[in-house]
Amino acid sequence: MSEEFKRTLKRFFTNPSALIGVTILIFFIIIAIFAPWIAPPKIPVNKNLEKARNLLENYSEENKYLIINELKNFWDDTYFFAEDDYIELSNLMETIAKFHNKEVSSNELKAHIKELTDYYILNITYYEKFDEETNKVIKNLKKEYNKIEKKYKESVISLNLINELEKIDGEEFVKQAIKVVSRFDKNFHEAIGFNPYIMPNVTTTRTPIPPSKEHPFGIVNQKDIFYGVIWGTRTAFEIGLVVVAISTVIGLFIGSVAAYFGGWLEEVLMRITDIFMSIPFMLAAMVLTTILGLGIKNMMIALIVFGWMVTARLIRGNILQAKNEQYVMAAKALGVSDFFIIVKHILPNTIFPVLINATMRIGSMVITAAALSFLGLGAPQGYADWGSILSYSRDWIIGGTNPTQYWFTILYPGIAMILFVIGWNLLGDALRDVFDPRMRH
Amino acid sequence: MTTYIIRRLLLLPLIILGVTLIVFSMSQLLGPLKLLSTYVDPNTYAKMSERDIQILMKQYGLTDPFPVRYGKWVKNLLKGDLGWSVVGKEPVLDALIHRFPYTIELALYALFPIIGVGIWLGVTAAVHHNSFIDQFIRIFALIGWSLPDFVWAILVLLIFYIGLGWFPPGNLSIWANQIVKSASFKNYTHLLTIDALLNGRIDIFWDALRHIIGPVIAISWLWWANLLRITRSSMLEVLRKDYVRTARSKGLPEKVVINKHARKNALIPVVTTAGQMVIGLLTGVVIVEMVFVRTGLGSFAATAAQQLDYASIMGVLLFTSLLLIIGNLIIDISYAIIDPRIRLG
Amino acid sequence: MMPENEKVILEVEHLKKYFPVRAGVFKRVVAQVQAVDDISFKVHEGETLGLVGESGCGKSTTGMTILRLYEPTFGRIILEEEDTTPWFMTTTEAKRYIKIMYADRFEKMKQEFGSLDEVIKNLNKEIDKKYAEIYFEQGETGIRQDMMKDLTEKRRYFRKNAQVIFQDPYSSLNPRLRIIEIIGEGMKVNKMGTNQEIRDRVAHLMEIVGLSKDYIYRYPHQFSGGQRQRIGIARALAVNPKLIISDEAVSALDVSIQSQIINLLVDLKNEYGLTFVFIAHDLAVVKHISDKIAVMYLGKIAELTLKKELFDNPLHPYTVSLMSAIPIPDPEVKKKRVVLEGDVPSPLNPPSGCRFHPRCPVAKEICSKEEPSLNEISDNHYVSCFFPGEFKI
Repeated sequence: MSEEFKRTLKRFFTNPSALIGVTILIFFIIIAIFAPWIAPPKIPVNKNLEKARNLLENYSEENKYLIINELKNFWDDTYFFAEDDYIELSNLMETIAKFHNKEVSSNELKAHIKELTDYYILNITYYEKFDEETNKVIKNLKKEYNKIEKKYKESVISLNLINELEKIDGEEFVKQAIKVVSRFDKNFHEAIGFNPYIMPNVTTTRTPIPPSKEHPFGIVNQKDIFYGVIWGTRTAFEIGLVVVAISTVIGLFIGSVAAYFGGWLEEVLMRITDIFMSIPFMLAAMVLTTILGLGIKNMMIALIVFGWMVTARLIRGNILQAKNEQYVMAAKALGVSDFFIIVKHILPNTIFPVLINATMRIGSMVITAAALSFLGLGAPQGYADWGSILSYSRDWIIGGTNPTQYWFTILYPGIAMILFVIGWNLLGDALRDVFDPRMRH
Repeated sequence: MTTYIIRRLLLLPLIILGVTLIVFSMSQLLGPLKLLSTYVDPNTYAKMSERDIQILMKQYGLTDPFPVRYGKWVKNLLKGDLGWSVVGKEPVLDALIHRFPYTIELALYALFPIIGVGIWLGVTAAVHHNSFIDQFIRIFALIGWSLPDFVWAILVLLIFYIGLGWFPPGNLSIWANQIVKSASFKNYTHLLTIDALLNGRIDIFWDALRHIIGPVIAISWLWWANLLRITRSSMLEVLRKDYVRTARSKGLPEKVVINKHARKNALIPVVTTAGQMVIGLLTGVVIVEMVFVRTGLGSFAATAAQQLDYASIMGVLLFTSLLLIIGNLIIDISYAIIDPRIRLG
Repeated sequence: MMPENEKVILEVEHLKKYFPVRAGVFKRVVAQVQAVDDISFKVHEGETLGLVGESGCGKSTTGMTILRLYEPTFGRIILEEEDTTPWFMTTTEAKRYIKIMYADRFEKMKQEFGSLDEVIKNLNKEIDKKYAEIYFEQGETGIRQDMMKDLTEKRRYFRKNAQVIFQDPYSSLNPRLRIIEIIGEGMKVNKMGTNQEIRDRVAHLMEIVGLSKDYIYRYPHQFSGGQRQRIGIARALAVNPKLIISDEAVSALDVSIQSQIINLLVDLKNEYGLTFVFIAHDLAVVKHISDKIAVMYLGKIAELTLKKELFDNPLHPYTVSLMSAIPIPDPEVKKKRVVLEGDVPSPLNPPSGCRFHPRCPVAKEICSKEEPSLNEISDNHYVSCFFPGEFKI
């Protein structure tokens, strides 16, 4: 490591706010990484597979066929219709192909879809929406076909695996059977759409239940707050890092292109930046999320679309300033190419303010995202997200009787959120102190 | 300076055009059927046949190519036709105009405590640089900066309404609302507190004020943090300047040095922030209005978004963007007039 | 002194650099700052030309334009018998330049003298003769082909041979690069050896400029201003340039350090036979290092001559007043100082006639009406004044 780097590190780690910030963030990173162990998701189990597993633990020769029987039962439950569905959908795909070649009219295709919806192979919406959004329906049907095809192939493989098992005995059987069971487990989760980010319902009553030994942060709207806070850490990191990273890259690209090429291109790009800046951020993100449809991904897209402008302006200003530095002139006089001048001389001296700014934006991005979820526009129902839990809390505190008894619904997710944002802000502050050029000489 | 202002004014239509283009493009991401709901009350075509709906779409030009649709849309905008608001049950423009005064009133009441306290805290922190007071104020700012506004708003409601019973949510109490809605109460400015005074109803004035204080506290912390950070660093910079040192070395009392020599110069960058703050207050009250169940632009936008009332959210977005553009224009021009470096440049 | 037949390294002819002033709503060009307005000079091999003048007189712009860090508005810059002017231009600019500088001129002379031999005989510069021959054989395109072929190579040749030492020791070194990278960058770009060779040469250069070779892995902020300036000198020396332009290289340093750096430059010059253009605002600084001195005022050369001649016999009133400002380290000597009245006028709107006349103590009527040309008053002594030598202390 260079001495410069060592000095910087030393300056950074003797900075109290850096230490606190980094500690907080490391704490959250650990929580995010170990979430499945800290708050284990309630993994749904298939009773056939469960039985098979129990039998495998006390394996004896006579158990073998019981085990194979359980696996077969599982196969029947999961894949019984797979082959039929696959054939039906293949036929439909042929009809669609003919429809594209104008050999089949749209009414005939619609009738074919109706047939499948009548057998409950397809959701009725495909039929209902067919006239209105034909192209979209066909696109989704193709996706459906791919899914079924995959399932069908898996069913064939699974059946083969069971048949193979029948042929072997003893320890070899146990070894292979354990592998098969865990493979089936995964297939089962896929089939029922299990997602650990969806908070499971833990009670039947909607009223919040205060913290107990089993649910240390209490329960709100049937959800375990502890589970939500822990898995929400992952959501917060994902939103903050992805949104800020992508919007910063976009801003860097636009700003440096503007500064480097100058002229009319710069004028156009900077006016576009001005225009985007003339739209209030929070409302714009709200509107775009609403239009794209609710959900974490759409919310992130909205935050990115309206979140790149500050970076663009910052990097442009810095590059324009650096362009006139004497060391850049000296490099030019030495005949260094424009590309290397940018990469070696301009960017390293301009990128730090951008990175510092990005660090500081992570906190406020997470707040904005949480606010959107709080308004019911971001994360879907039951998604492990701090903003969502806080929006449940709002209903009880504003609408409930004697609301102070529901303190825990706001306290834990609130503290998690504040600490997370403070961590990033402290880190950003410290980076600014350490890299501020005025502190250097 | 004149050329700067003229340039700024000439860019104005371009910016407005760009904003309308972005907003319109966003709206086009909706399918044609959803777009139809922004023109007609969905109930009117709920039972129509598909053919009739197609005819209706054609009628509203939803099948035209993009530039034609944009042109028509802009033409409607110029006529003040922003579509039908499902949430407001009236045309979008009317809905906006009816709700805007509530938001203005909230912003106005928030402005003075924010600026006063924010600057005072910033100057105090700078004067007592690195002391206990400074550290305390910095932590205060850090928390304000990191505290999600909705969490703080809920806490304010918990403490001051549920705990102490001082500042209730809503715009007015029920009894006051009945009087305000009645014919005998004249609306001069549509700002509740001022109208109450003009009508000679001190009781309604107090009631309106009581409802406004909670939201003001909820908004303020973040802005205090913003403002005091800027004031502090600007003040610290000025205090290091030679003319302040000279003033000190002349033996002037510290109070005079700070009040007369330092503070005035330190406040120049604060002025722009204060300007942006006014705009920020008008466009950033969504959460607070929602938590405090207040009528206003923010709660209108949020409710419209929740109920997928596209015409209304587009309307709010356009309206607030326009506010932002005009506000920024005024700030830039007045800054050009104040700052001699720009004025002479 | 320099013998006349010595090889000319740099020749600048009628160099002009105007900066457009943009204003108004559409940012149109409303005026031109005439930073450098028609100056010419020659620098021979091993010679040092001092370029002196008040700040804002265009001396730094002249340096930057010669180095092609700014594009010249007009004029010809010849490095070692090669016209380098169009090398950094766009194709259309180069076309225009060749037409004005060569084709039109030769065409006019052809009409004047009749025969081609006569034209060539009447041209007194080798480079003109060369291109006249090409022109009359192959036409304008011939010149263009000759000048614009192997452009990358030519640019590299120019960059390698014309180097610069900057004024500000703090902003002239990239704070994020090590000394070896800073000094070695030019060698790397010009492919002057393997990494090992470059490292050895950087170490050697460090010792030449009086720094320890152990410092090559340090960063600029670990050095003092004077040391940084030495690094800047090493960077310029690294590529073995024929010409070094030093842009106020000592102005930002303390007086004691100034003399150290100047002594270093003098030593280097004597040892390696370097050719310098030494830009400074102070005659005292230039005196020690220069062979020839050009005094600039408001974008023009006021006086140009050998150093000894200039100090013994200054002819331009402006030179005389500058001379009187040099401190003499002897308290016994009473010296009369000339204090020029008024400020330097703006190059945006220079005075009519002689640019110095509003501040000139001996200005007469003609001075405000006509512009004096740079005349050779005596051998190798050029002055642009209607009344040279009239003003004395």
